[in-house]
Amino acid sequence: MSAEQSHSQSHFQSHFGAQFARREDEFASASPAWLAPVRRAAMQRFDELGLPTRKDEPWKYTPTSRIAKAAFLQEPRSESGLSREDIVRIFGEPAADCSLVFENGRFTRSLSSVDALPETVTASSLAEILRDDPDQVQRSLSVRADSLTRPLAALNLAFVHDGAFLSIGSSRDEQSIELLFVSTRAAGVANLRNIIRIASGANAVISMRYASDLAADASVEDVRSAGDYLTNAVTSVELGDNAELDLISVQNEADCALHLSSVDVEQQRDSRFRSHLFAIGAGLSRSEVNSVLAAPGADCALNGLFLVGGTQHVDNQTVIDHASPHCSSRELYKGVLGGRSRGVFNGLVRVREDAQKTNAQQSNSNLLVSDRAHVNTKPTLEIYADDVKCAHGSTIGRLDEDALFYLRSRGLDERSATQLLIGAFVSEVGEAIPHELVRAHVERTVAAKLATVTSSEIA
Amino acid sequence: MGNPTPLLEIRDLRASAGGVEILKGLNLTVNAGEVHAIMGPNGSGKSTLANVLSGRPSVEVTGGSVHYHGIDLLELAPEQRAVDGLFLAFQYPVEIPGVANSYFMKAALNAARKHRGEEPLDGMDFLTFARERMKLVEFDEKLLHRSLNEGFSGGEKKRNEILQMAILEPRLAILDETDSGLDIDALRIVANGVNTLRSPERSTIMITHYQRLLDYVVPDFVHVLADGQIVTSGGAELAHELEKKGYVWLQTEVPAP
Repeated sequence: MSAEQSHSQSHFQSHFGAQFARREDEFASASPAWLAPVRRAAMQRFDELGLPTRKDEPWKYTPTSRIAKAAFLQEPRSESGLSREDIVRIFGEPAADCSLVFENGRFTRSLSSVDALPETVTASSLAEILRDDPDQVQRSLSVRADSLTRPLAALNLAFVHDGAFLSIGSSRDEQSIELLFVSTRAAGVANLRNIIRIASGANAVISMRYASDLAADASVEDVRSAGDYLTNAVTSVELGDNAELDLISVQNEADCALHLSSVDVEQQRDSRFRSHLFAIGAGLSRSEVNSVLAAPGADCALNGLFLVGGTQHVDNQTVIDHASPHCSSRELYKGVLGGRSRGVFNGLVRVREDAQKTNAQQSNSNLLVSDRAHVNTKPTLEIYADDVKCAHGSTIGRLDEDALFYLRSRGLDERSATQLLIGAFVSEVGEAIPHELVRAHVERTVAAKLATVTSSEIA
Repeated sequence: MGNPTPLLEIRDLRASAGGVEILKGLNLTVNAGEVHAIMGPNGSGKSTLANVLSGRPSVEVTGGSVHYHGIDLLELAPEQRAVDGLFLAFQYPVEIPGVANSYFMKAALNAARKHRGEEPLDGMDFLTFARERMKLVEFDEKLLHRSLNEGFSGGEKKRNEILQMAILEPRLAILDETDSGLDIDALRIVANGVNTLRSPERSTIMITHYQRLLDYVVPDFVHVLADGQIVTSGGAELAHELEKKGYVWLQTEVPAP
C-alpha cells in the first residue's frame, strides 16, 4: 500500500466514523432499539476490516484508491424534484405494474406505483418497515458482525436506513416488480439495503435498475465537472421451497459514479434463481452475486454482461456455493471492453463435501474491441465432493477479422459490421430474460451503449 | 463507336501477403457480359487475386492498377465495392453465430439499395424476394432463419453464397473455388444458379483448380495463372487441354509472355 493510499484510506474511515457518531441519534429515532447495537458492531467491524487493498485477493485488480479518495462530504438531499415524466425519461416506460422509485438512496412514494398489488405481496420501503413494522426485518438485519467479511457490506449495515422491502407470498401468478434507483447528486453516498423474500411456491420477476440524472443537480454545471458519488447497495434474497425468481440488474450510472453492489441469495429446496446482470455504466463498478444452494434440488443460473468503454473499470465477483446434494448451477458471463477500460471476472463455484450429484457449469468469455482494453478473468472450481459434474472455462478474444471482412464484403460498413458482431456476441445474455418488456428495456440500453463503445473505436 | 470502358481492367498488378510477393504483374481485362475462368495450380495466386479485388485488408497491393467501370477500385473500402456491384463468393464462407442469415442478407441488400438511392425493403418484401431467389439454388428456407453459415454443410455454405449473389445481383461476381468440396448434385445446383444469372450486363470471374465446373458453366475465356502472372489465355477448350495434360505441361511447353 502506498503512503498516499494509506492516508486516503484512513481518511475515508475516519470520515465515516465521524459521520456515524454524528448521525447515531438520528438513526436511533428512526429505527427500532435492536438495530442500534447491530449498527455499532457493524461500524466497529468496518473499522477493523478497513477498506480493501490490492493485497486482498478479491480486490487484486480493482483500484480502491478511487473509492478512498472520493470526497463524500455531503449527504445528498433525497428529494430532487423529479417528476413521473422524468422517471419515464430516465428509465423508459414502466415494464411492470408495480415500481418503487428511490432517489439518492431514499424511497419516493409519490413517484412509485405500489397500489396494484395483490394481498400476498408486500412492496414497501425499508425505512417505512423499520418505522412501522420492524419485527419483519429483524432477522434479516441482525447479522453477526464477525460474519461480515466485506468492508463495504459492514459500512452498509452500519448506515442502513432505506431500500426496498419485497415479500412475495405464495400465489400461482407471477409477480413483476421494478426497483428504480436514481442518483441526482454528483456527491455523497446512496446507501441502499434491499430485502427480497420469495415464499414457498411463489414466482417473481424483479428488475433493479440503477441510473443517474445529474442534469437535475444544480450544483453540477457540466456533467464532466461532477465529482464522484458512491452507490453502495446490498440486496439479500431468500427463496423458499420451490420458489422461483428472475432478478434483472441493470447498472447504467454516470461516469462519475462508483457503484458497489452485492446480491446475496439463499436458496431452499427445489428453488430456482436466475440472475441477469448488466454492468454498463459507472466509472468504477463492482457487482457481486453470491448464491448459497442450501437445500437439495435448488437450481441457480447467473448470467452477466459487462459492456464498458473509455476509462471505465468493471469488476464482477460471483460465488455459487453448492452446500447440498442434487443441485445445479450454470454461469455465463460475457465481457465487451473498448477504449482503455478494465474488466475483472472472478467467479468461484464451491462444491462442499456432502454436495454429491452437483452439476455446475461456469464460463466467462470476453471480447476486447480496443488494443488498450484489458480484462482479468479467473473462473475457479473448488470441489470437495467426489461424485459431481463440473466444468468451467474462460476466453479472451478480439473481433474475428474474417467475420468482419465477410460482412463488409457484402456492403455493411465497418461500424455496422462491428456492431452486428458485438451484438451477436452479447445477445445470448439478454435472451435469457423471460419477461418481454424487461428484455426490451435491457436490449435498448445495451444497444445504446454498444453504439457508443463502437463509435469511439471507429473513427 | 469506340470500345466501351471495360468492366474490369487490371494492369501489372503486384500484391503481397505476409511480406511475400504473390501477384507479380498480373494483367486481365473483363468486359460486360463475359464469363472468365482463371485456373492454376495451388499457390499460383488465384485466391490472392480474389482477395485484392474484394479488398481484404491482409493483402497489400504493392504495384499496378485495377479499374472497375473506369474508377480506381483499390481506393474503395470493401463495403463500397460491394454496394457498387462487386461480389465475392468465398472459398471458405465464415460462420457467424448470433447473426441471422435473413437479417444479414436484408442488411446487405438494403445497403446496396441505399447506395442506388432506392428505398429499403421491409422484412416481408425481403422475404418474398428471397423466396423467389431461393428456388434458383434449391435453398431450404430453414437455413435462412438460422445463424449465418453456422452448422451448415459444405454444400449448404456454397449454396448460401450463390443465394447471396442471386439476391444482390452483382455486376461483377468473383467465385473463389466455389466448386471445391462440392458433390456432383451440389455442383449442378450451384452452376445452374450462376447460369441463370448470366446476362449481358453481368460479368463473372470463376476461380477454380479443376476443370469440372467449366463443364456446367461454359466460360468465354480461360486464363492460366502461374507464379503470380497469367501465363496463357484461350477459349473454353484451354480448360480441357489443361485437364488432360496437367499444370506441369505449362512449365514445359508454354513460353512465358
